[in-house]
Amino acid sequence: MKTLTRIALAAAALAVATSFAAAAEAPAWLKAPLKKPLDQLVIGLSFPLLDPWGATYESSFLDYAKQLGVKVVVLDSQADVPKQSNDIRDLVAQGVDTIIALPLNNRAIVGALGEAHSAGIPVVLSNGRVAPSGEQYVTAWTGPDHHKTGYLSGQMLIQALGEKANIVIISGTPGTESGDRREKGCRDALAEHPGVTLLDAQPANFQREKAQSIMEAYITRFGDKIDGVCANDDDIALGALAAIKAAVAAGRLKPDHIKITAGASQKEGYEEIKKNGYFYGSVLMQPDDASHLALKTAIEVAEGQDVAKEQYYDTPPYTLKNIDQTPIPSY
Amino acid sequence: MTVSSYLESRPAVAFRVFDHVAIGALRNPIWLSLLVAIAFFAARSPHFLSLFNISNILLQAAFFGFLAIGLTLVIVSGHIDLSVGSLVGLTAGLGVVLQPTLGLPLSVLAALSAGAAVGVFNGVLVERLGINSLIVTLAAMIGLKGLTFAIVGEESIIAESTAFSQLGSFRIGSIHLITITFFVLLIVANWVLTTTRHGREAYAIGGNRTAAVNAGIRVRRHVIINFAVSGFLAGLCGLAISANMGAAVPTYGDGYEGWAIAAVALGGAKLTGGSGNVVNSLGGVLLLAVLRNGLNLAHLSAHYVLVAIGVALLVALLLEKRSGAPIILPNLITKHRRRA
Repeated sequence: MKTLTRIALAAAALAVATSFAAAAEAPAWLKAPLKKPLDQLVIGLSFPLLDPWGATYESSFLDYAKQLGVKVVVLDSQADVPKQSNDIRDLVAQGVDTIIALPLNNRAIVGALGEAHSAGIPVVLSNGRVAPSGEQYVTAWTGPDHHKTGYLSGQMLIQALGEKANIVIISGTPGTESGDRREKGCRDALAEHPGVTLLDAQPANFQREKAQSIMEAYITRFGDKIDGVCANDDDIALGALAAIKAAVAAGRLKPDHIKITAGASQKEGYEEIKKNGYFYGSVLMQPDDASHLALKTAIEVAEGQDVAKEQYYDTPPYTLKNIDQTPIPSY
Repeated sequence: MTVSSYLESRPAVAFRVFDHVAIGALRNPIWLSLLVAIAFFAARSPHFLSLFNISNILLQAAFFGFLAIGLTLVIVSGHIDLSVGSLVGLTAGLGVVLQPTLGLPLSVLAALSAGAAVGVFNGVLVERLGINSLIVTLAAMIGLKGLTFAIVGEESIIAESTAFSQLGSFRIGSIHLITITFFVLLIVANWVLTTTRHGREAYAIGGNRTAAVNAGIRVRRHVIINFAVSGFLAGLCGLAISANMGAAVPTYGDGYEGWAIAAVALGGAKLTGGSGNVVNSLGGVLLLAVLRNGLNLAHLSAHYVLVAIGVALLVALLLEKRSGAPIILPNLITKHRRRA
């Protein structure tokens, strides 16, 4: 037992020593003086599920932490709702400086966030939101501005089609922030142009197959009247694209007419836009940007600095014109 | 301390029940494993033995601990119940969905009754129709999952009653009410198994069913009762989780049957029936909770947590095998074949 403790202590000492050696200069965005040197900070990250998007988020998070010389603890709830609350309690138990959480369930997480709050540990949310009863425990929210990405997708569509166009919307999951706000953003962009008619809007719950069947129904109802499709993400856009290609091949639609734009990027969609076909443009939304903003904010919060309650990362739109200057989506 | 020196150190007229439990505990490697795990993590992380973390581990243990108590009873009487995980999701959903119409007390009652009713249903199918409990409860596990999604939907439902959520996070000192409830039930279950006729006869049924039948034991009734208790406790687990989270999510309880069965197996119960007790199952529950929490605190990836638990289970089964009992699954099947 004693030897074990000694070994553990020696290992800890070694770890501290190496991290001192590795510690980089404090970055420019961090105001001096610091409450704690960066290499003594421990930031906890509670992840809902390390799916492909999550894995990219995690690896970019770890890289950035290494670059800054900050210690991090990443816990994966494996899509188990009670486990995420347990994970957060485990982060509280080890006294991390800030907890970053991507909520798996916006209500179930509130109790655990309350425990973090009463233990004096600040919470930074990344991408997801919590129920109103939990907002009191949240120091800052970081993520994409979904209204803006929806708005940009609408704007690109009009830029491609001109002031007079008939448009259909295929949206994400109703009741989710990304679903509702991207749809609203797209509607707002279209409403600015009196010559533009919105034919219909239906939710595809961010599912490609569902988007495809909705698009098939649109084609049956409106046919060649449709000039543009405003999709809330690349998955939906790719579903609509499959339906359009099939209808064109079957002679039900005139070729090379419809344009599609999307409100959130994916690697597969990026390649499709490069082909200069029906898929016209999308909005870059990188897990790397999400993880970097979350970690940066968590560090500022841990250092006791003032941060904005809502923080958005950059989501630039891209079409064939600027695709070569746009980084390839990492997911 | 060895078993014999322990026996000598106690007066001859000591409480039999206590001796039974204490000797069982000393014989079982689970408690030593638990101590080793605690010592290891205490050395690894200075936060491990903090009061907050201990109450944290106990709460995490209590959730699937409810299921482990019920499963101990079912396993002692020679059966298995795979439906408990799905039942957690269903009863959590019922307890929350019904609140706006029935009010809190009745919806809690409805959830618990639903749990017990599913248990009775399982028990009746197993005993009256003679279908293997592995198959019956596997079917229930799949069917109930679907039913849960039908009732709760894909999304979460927020608990309307604030009293419900408050009870779920209520603490006495730093220990959660849920944890205390679990320990009270554990003591009751231990009392039932060690001192009542139902307990003794359950061991007799699991040990040798034919002999039990010949001895005039009402085998079917005892087995159905144990399934009902298992279902009831799954209902309690569902209510505890939804109260603690303040919401019901259809995926609650996914995979919990695995954790609970693992805990009971780690506690040394033979899955062929006739052996095991809730105190050692508690050891299994605590070991799993300590591993989950400790590996989190030791900053090991969640994937290694599962690997470590798998290895721990395998070691426990090897120890069991060395003690003369055959490997579980084939034995479970042949046992039922023999019965049919």
